[in-house]
Amino acid sequence: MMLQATIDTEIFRESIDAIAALVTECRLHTAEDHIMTRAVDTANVAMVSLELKRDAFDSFSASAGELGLDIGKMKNILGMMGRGDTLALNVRDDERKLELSFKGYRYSIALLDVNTIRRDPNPPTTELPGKAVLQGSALYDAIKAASVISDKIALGIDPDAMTFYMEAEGDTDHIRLALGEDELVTLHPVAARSLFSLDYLKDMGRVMARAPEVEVHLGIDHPVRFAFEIADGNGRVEYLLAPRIEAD
Amino acid sequence: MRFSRLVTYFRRLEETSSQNEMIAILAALFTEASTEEIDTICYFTLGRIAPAYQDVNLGMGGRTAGAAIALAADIDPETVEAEVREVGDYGDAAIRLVGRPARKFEEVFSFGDALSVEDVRRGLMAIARAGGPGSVETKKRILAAMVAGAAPEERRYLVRLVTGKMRLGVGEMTLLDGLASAYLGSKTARPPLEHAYDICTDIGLVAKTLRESGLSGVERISVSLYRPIRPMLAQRVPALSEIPKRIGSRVIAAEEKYDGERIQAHKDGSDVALFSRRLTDVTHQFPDIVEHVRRCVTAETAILDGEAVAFDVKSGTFHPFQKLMQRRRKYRVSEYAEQIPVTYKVFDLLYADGASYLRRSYPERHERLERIVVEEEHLALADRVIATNLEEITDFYLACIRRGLEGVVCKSCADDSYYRAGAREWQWIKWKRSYGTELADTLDLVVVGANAGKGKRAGTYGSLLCAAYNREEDVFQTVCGMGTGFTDEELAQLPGKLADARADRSPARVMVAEQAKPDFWFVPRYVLEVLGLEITESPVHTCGWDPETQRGLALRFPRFVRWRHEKSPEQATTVEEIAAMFREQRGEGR
Repeated sequence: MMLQATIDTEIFRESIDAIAALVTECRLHTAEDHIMTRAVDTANVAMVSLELKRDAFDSFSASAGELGLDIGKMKNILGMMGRGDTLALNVRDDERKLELSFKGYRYSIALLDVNTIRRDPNPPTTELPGKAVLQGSALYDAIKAASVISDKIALGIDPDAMTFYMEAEGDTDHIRLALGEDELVTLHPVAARSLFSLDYLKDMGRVMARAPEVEVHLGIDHPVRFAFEIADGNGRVEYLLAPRIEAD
Repeated sequence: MRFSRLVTYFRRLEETSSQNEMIAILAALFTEASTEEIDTICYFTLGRIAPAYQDVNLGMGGRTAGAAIALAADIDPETVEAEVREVGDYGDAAIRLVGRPARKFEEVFSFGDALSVEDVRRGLMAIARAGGPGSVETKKRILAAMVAGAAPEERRYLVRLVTGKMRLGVGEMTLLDGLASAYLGSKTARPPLEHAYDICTDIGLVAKTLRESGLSGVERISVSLYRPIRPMLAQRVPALSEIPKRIGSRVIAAEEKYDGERIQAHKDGSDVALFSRRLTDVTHQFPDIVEHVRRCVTAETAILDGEAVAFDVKSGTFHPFQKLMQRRRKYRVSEYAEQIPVTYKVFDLLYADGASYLRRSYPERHERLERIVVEEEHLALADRVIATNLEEITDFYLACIRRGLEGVVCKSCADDSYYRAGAREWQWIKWKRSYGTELADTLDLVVVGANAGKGKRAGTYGSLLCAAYNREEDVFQTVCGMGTGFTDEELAQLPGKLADARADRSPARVMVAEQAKPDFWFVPRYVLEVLGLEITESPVHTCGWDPETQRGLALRFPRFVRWRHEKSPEQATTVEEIAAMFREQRGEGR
């Protein structure tokens, strides 16, 4: 067996949602004590990486391997699952099929040829000195507010004011939100500011909204990295988003 | 080796215009390459994925590649096509478009460093393997995935590999020079590599063997079933008469030369594979040849060299090449196999029952070939004559021409008449009808004399003295004595046919040189059509006589075609025409 596991449907759902925010397919790596994926969207603008440890599962047994997952198809099947159900996952070594069983249903879905899926990106090495930690819902609210007037948003840290801020500029309108130490969990006050696409942030924000705490790592005209835990601390998701070029 | 590293070599190869520098770059590349990947590196450098005979076909045209780039760049295919029109190349378009949609974002992700030569090979093989419904989409997605994950420079060469537009300017021989330079110290050490390549036709195998086991390993590379051998080629000569001088053998085999397709057949029990002259697998195009080989070749394993010809059994004539080419198709193969049945004319044997015949003489190979082939209507050995003089060869050649064949291939029967894979040497010399421009046309000549027949031809004429018409001077000047091309019946009828033109002495308006004076004279009345080999200067014939050089023009190896009763002697081919043919012949340097 390449993979034989059972997992709470909710944990599975939030994992798939986290990936689905950016890509429709991915290479899922299985190992003895975890599964993980790292994927970049087709436009090379954003990356998601997700890891679920063995403890995130009710039962787990896997050997090292690589599966081609059709995330779109998984999302459809997730719609059939109820809260609190347990999901059984099975992949036999010699078959290119994933078996999903829950509530008496047994789906057998074809895995994708991994060759058809772009390779994993290198682990990003970008140094991002600024860091703020805040509630996921607060982050998502700010993103939604900005998207009303613009399609891009600046994220930054003002070390003098000790704030993490977001700023958006429309043709005629302007919005700014600054969160001080009181509203943040932690803040590394290093000057930072970069511009990002709200298209991407909205999709990511929807997923992050559920996280109690999201780490935001920033630099000056550098990518932003969001990191948060899932599965009661037994899983971790990271998003990396490339900055927009302001002069165009 | 990382693909990015290989790409830096590609870049340097593309930029140099010096052959020596190219060899030096290749040598550096091959020195750096590992045994596992050196074959792939060779294929890629030549713009290929695998050796030709493996028939690896990506099945991806520019448009599909463009669609893959569009997918990778998250833009629509039309934008890609527009870019290609501007930059002229899908590879360059990939660099400009992928990863930077509308150039709104910094490029922060890197994939390129991790992409190895082996990764690329595997990806391309996956593209080639994809078949069946939806395969175009699959191919597109694989390429898109690779392109999106590659560094910019890598994208260029990746896409060029897929679209077959590598354009590095590296030829096979230059590549072998590079190998020789890397592993044998100098490009001058190329010949054994070239020889091994001719036999195995897999440049990657040669490279790998050289890397792994050195020159001695390369020298052990031998014939193997399903791996085509580069066909031996024939030299050309300016005149048929030069063949005996150049071929290096007293005994010469002249074989029919066909206007068909060279096919190498590999038989392994009941399995048969066919390869074209370009070494591609054409097995599926000729199911009939496969069947014939299976049935008619008695050896358990064999490699045959021959030519597929479209032969019309009913009329006994060969169809032209164009007709045969209709058989080159992907679809409706069996339908066309029925419409245009093909005959496989076999002329050589390269391998039989586990043994290579490359280093056996032509007579030995042929002798064995005769023993393992049971001839049938659609599989036969090429007709041939074994000759020791030019006359026999010429006769055979003219007979071939009359049957609508292209000409002859003359082959040395000497002890060293090996099958020299891939070589164009003097052991094989071809002579085609089109080489002699005069042969495109027959001549219409007037009978002015005859010599008495001897032996078998006693009682009739042994040869006819033929003349062309000199319009300016209104005389008939001799061009040749002709004794071949007649059937026995035609020969027997000659005296009767020509009886009413007989004269007791040289008739008026007939110019005959002293040495050419015939036994019998005829007044110019009868015209016949003559096929000849070439026109030469001659002291014997008076056609276009040049008093200064004391030479006229003669038709060599004339051969009777038919009587031209509808023509008057004055309508015969003129001396001027023949002189023009002669000038043309010389002018073209043949």
